[in-house]
Amino acid sequence: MNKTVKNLEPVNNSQQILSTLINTIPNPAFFRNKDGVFMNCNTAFAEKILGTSCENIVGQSVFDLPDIIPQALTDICLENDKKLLNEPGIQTYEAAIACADGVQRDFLLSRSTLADHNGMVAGIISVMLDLTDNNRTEKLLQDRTAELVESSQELKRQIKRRKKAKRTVKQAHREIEHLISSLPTILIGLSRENEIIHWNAVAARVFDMSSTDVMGLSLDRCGVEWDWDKLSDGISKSQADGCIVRLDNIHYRNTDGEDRYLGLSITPFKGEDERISGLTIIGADITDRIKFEAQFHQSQKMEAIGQLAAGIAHEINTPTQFVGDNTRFLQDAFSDLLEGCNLYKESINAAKSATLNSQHIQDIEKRLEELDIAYLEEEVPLAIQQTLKGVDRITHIVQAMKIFAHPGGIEKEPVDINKEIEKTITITRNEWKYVAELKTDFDTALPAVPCHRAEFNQVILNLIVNAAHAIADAKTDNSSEKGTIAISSNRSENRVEIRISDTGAGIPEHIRHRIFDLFFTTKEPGCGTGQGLAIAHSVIVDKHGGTIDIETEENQGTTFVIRLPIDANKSVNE
Amino acid sequence: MNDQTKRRILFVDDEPMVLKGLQRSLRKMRTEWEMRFSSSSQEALDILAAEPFDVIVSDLRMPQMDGTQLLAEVKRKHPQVVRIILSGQVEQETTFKSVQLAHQSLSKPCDADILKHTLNKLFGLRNLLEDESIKRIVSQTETLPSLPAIYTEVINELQASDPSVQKIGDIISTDLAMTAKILQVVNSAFFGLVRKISNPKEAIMLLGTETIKALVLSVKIFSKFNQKKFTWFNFDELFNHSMSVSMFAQTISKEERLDQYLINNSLMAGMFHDLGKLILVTNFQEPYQQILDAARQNKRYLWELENDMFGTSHAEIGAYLMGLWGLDYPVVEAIAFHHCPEKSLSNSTGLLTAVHFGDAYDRLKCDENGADELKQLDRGYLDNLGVCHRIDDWQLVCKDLAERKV
Repeated sequence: MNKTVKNLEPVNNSQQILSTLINTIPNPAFFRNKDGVFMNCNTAFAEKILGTSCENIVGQSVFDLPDIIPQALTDICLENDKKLLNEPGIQTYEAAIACADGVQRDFLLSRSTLADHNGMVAGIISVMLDLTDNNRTEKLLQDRTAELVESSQELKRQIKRRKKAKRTVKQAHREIEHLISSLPTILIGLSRENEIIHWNAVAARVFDMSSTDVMGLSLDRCGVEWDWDKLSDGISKSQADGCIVRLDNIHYRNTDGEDRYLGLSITPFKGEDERISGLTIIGADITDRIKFEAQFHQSQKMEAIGQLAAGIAHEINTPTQFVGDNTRFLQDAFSDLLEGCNLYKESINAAKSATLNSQHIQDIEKRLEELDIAYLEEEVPLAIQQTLKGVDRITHIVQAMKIFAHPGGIEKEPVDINKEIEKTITITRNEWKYVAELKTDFDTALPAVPCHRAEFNQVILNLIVNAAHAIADAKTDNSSEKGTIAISSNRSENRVEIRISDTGAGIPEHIRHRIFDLFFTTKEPGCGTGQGLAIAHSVIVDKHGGTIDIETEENQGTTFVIRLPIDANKSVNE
Repeated sequence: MNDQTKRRILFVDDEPMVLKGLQRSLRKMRTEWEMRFSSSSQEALDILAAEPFDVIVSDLRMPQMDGTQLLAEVKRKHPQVVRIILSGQVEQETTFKSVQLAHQSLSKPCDADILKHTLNKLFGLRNLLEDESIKRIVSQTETLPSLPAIYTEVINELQASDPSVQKIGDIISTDLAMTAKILQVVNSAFFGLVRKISNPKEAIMLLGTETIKALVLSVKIFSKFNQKKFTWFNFDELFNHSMSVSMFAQTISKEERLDQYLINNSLMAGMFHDLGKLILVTNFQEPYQQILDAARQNKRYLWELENDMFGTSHAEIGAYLMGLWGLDYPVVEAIAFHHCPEKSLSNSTGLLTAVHFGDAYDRLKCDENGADELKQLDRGYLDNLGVCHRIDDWQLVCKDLAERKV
C-alpha cells in the first residue's frame, strides 16, 4: 500500500508540475489527441491566440470551434497533423496566424507526437513561437544578422582553411609515415625510461630481431651485442643536455658473429611539459662505408707514397753514397795506418837490436810521408763523423716512413701533433728542399690530441706536398730564390690550431670553393688526381670534428688552417 | 806523372758530404787523376771555362740549375767533355730528360770501384781518337740515323692502339742505330738493372712499351736519315753487311766456344763494327763522298782513305761512341780494331777475332770473283793466336749460315 501511495503521489505531483509548467511557458502550447480533440492547452494559447479560456477549448475539436479558430489555421493544422501522424516524430513549420487581438503574427510551430503506454500515437503536442516578437527586435536582428553572416563567412573560410590544413597535415603525416617506412636507416624509438617503443624494419633486419621481440624491452636488454658503454654514454648525454649526439663506429656483432660498425645519431624529443619524453636513435650499419673509406684512403695513401717514393729513395740514396765512400776510405785509411804502425814497430825493433841506421830511418820516413799520415789524422775523424751523420739521416727517414706502415686503427689515440708533423716533414723533404726553406714554429706545450694518426699524417703530407708544388709552380724560371713553407702549431682554448703556409701563387678566387671537391685538380694529368684536399677535408672535418680553412691571396701564398678539438667527443664548433 | 798526363775529372753534387766522400774514396787515384769538386752547377761551369776536363760526373737534382741543365750547357760549350750522371734520382721523368745528355749514368749509391772502373774505361777510349775535333763530334752525337722505312715502322707500331713489345723488338733489332741507342738506354743505371743487357729484344721487353713510347716519341732517341740528302750513300748495303757480320761473329764465337758473356755480346760487336760510318756520313758529307769515290776508283780500302783524310777511321770512331755509350770493352775493341786486329793488345781469340773474320768473309761473299779469297783477313794476327787452322771450318759454318739465311 505504502508503495502504491508513494508511487501515486509523485504522479499527481508531476501532473501538477506539468500543468504549471505548461501555463508558465510564455509560448502558446496545446495538446490534441489523434482525433484532433484538444486535450489540454495553456493560457497563452487560449487567451492570446483564441481569445477565450482553456475550459472552452479542452474537449473540443478544431471543427467544433469555427468561431474561434479561423478556417485557414484549421486547414494548415489538419494538413500538418496528417503528415505528422503518418510519420510520428518531430515537426516544425511556420504559419501566419491571426491572434485574439486581431493582429496577424508569424509563428513557428514546433510539434511532436506523443505515444500512449502501448507505444501507439496518442496525440500531438504543439508549441508555438511568435516570430513576430523576434521581428520586433528586427533592427537589432538585422545588425546581428549582418555580423553573423560576416562571422559565418569567416567561419566558413576558417573551416575551409582548417580542412585544407587538415588535409595537408594528413598528407604530411602519410608522407612522413611513408618516408619513415622507406628510410634505409635504423630507427629506434625510446621512451623516457629507455624502453623500446619503436623498432623499424631496418633495425629488425640489421639486428635480426623483429619489433615484437624487442618492443617494450629496455634498450640494454634487447639482446643486441653492441658496445653498450659507448651507446649508453651517448644516450645519457643526449638526455642530460637535450642535444643531438652523434656516435660513430659503434661496434656490434651481427647474428652471424661478424664484427660490424654502426653510425648512430641520438635525438631527444620533448613532451608538452617541455621535459624530454624520449629519444629517437637513427643510424645505419656503416661497416661497408668504413671499408670503402679505408680503401679510398689507402688508395690516396698509395698515390702519396708513389709520389714520394722517388723522393724518399733519393733521400736514402744520397747519404748511402757518402756512407759507402767514407767507409771505403776508412778501410783504406786503416790499412795505411796499420802499415804506419808496423813501420814504427819495425824501427823500435831495429833500435832495440841496435841495427837502426840513418838509411833505415830515411826509408821509413819516406814511406811514412807517402802514407800521408797527417792527412789521415785530419780526415779519418771527419769521415767517421760524416758516416754517422749519414747513418743518422737514413735512420731518421726510415723511421719517419713508419707513418706509411701504420695501418690506422678505428679508434683515435692521443697523438703528439708536433712529432707527427716532424716525421712528415722528413718524409717529404725531397719534395720541398729544392724549392723552399721549411720553417717550423711549434707550441711545445701542446697536449696530446686524439687523432687517427695515419690519416692525420696523410693530411699534413698532402698539404706540405701541395705547398711545395705551389711554390715550384709560382717560381719563375730564372729566379734562384727559394720560397718558404711555414708550419706552426698552437693551442687556443679547447682546440689545437695547425697552420701550413706557402709563398706560392695563392688560389685564384674562382676555384676557391672547389678545392676540397673530390677529383678537382689544377695539376697536369698524371701529376695529381685531385684527391688530396678532399681527403684532408674528410679526415679533419668528418673524422676529427675539426675544421680546415684556407687563407689565400693571389701572388702572396696560401695558408691552410686546421683546427682539431682536444676533447675527442666534441667538435671544434661546439 | 805530371799534371799534363793526369786525367781530369770534375764532380758536381749539391750535397757537400757526397763530394767529401768521393774525394776520400777516390783519393787512391790521385796520382793518376786530377779531381775537382763543385757543389753547384754554376760553379762547375765556371771551373770548366777556366780549365780543361776529360769527364764531368754530375748529380741530377740540384737547386737552381739542375744536372740536366748543367749537362746541356756542358754539351754545348765543352762537347769534348764526357758527361756522366751520378744520381740518387729514380724518377723516370728526370731520367728520360737526361738520357740524351749523358753518355753514361750511374746511380747512387755507387760503389767507388764501379765508379773507378767506369772512368778508367772511358779514359782508355780517349786513346782511340787523337783528333780533338772528331772527339767533339762523336761526344755530341745523341742519335744515329736509322733507315727511314724501319723508323716509320717503329713509330707506327708505337702509335698503334695496342703496341706489341714483341713486334717493336723485332723491328728495332733490324736497325743498328736503334739497337745501339736502346742498349745505351737500358744499360744506364736508371733502369736499375744489375746485369748488362746485350740483346735489343730483351732490352725492349725490360723497358716495356710505355717507356719505349716515351723515349721514342717524346725524348726522340731515334732519328732517320734524310734519303734525298744521302743518295750517294748506300745505307741498305751498310745495314745488310752489319747484320751479316753480326750473325757470322756470333756463329764463330759459338764455334770457338768462347765465354758465354762474349757469345752474348758477339751479335752487338758484329752489328756495330761499321757504325762509325754513320757518324762520318752524317757529319762529313762532302769529304766522305770524295773518300767513297776514291775507294771505288782506286780499289783501296775505305779505312785507309779515312785515315789519310781524318787521321782515324770509322772503326775507331764507332768504337769511341759505343764506348761512350757504355758498351763493354770486348765489343769496343772488336769495333775499333776490326780492320787491324794486330793493333789490339789482347792476345786470345775473342770478339775481335770473330768480327774480323766475319767482316772479311762477308766482303769475300760480295766480291764473287774469289781470286784473292779473304784478302782482308790478317793471317799474321790469326797465326799469333794459333787459329789459322780454323779458318776453313769458320768459312764452312759461315757459308752454311748464309745459305740457310737465303
